Amino acid sequence: MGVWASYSLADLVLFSPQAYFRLYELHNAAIWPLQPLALAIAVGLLLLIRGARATAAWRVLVPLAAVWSLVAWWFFVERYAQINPVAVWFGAGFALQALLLMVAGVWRRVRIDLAGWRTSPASLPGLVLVLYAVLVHPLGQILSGRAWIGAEVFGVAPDPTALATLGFLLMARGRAVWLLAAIPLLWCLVSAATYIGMGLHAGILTPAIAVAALLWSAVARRGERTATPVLP
Amino acid sequence: MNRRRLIALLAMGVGALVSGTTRANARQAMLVKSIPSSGERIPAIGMGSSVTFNVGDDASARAQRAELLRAFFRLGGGMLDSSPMYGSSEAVIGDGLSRLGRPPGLFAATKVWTSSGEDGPAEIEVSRGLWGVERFDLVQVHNLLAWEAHLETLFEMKRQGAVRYVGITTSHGRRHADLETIMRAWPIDFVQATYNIRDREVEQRILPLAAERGIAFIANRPFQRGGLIDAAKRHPLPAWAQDIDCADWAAFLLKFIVSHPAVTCAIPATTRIDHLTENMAAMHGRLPDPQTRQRMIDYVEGL
Repeated sequence: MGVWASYSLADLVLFSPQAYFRLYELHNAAIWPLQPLALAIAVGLLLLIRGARATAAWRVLVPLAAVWSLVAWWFFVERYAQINPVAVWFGAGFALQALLLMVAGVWRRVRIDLAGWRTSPASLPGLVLVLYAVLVHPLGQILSGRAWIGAEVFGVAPDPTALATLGFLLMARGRAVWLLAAIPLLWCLVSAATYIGMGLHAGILTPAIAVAALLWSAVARRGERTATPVLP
Repeated sequence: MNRRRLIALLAMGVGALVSGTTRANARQAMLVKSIPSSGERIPAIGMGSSVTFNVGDDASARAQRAELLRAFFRLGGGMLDSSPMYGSSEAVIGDGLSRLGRPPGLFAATKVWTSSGEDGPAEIEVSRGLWGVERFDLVQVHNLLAWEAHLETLFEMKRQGAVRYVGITTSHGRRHADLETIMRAWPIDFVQATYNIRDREVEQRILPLAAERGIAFIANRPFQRGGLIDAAKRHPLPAWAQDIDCADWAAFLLKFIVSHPAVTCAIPATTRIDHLTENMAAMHGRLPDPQTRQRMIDYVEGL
């Protein structure tokens, strides 16, 4: 432990930003045209949970499980592990999250309800977080100078997938939601650590956005509890 | 005086002679240094591969690294240092070397990096396959991980002719006390640690011990992973740098390192051929004497 404590993040991240960003360029080229399909899934899920009418949770959780398993295999194991052996373990974490989402979606004993973002103000932070992950996150990267072909897209890259999943979970109600949020939150921290290890402190933005959305959601839910009860 | 010590002293004498030759033929001769345990001479500037060669299956990056290797050997480079810890670096090096047709000047150095002594031989064999070399010139125990078991393996491999030299490594000033213990107790050929104009802890005990025990010293992190040279480049090179034939900061910082009598080789890492060319230029021209070395330290600390 003493020796490991002497290592900085830069000692543990043994690849350059160029090599890391190039991964996304090669990954996007290899899996095209899955990106528009993944974006269509995100938009479709948002439309599903827009109104007051209750939507069965499995309709959201099962597609999310599918994209987490895609990222686990195609990005982490097939791509990222080429330059970072630890990526296999990251992939295992994403696979576990896919399993949790699937179980939560199909197992009737797990009670998760969705609150439409048009009728429930407490779901607004979730909507904003999903929109950030799907639109702002990749656009911001392109505007900051990364090649457009290397943009990180929901459903195929881990950061926007984790952020968007947190966003959808902020529109959900039930004790299991927090369990489902653990791995996406943990990934946001791992992502930030990776960026900081590469000397890119802007990486702190990913967990900062997630935490800001969580805090906003907590405040909004408190307000909702004092007003009208959440729809089942 | 035992045979090993005699060879070490003779080797250092040859090294000094070569350094003298370098001064005499300022623009032509290349600085080479002797490995004390054998007397074999190697170029004083090698190349590290942590981060820089870890590019995975990226075909264009691999082709560029092959050109980098081509330039490295054309400019007189020898020691290429890697580790299984560096992701795809060994595979990318092997790919580059195969494109170059095994350059004759190569001094292939890697490390064994596994917490299990039993897994060491298999890992070294994987590394050898990735590099595509018949045998490694040097295998080092990476960051002293499971060092006792690995040293036993490596000395057995050396006895069988499967590896030419045995070494140990650390970086960032970690575990220097353990390093000293091993240097005193085991007949290692190489020790690798961090040494640059700002990180000079090894000057206190490790470098004198290396000289005393006849152990070659490899200086890693010569530019503090780029931070040192990036910071230095914001300031002008002193006018007196031309007295030691330094045209840029790379030569200035590397000549400080390799002018230490106990240093055998420095291993800067880069992805750029122009930077590589600057690094390799440090093997040419005059070297700083002890007074000039102190002046270099004072100047950099004053920046």
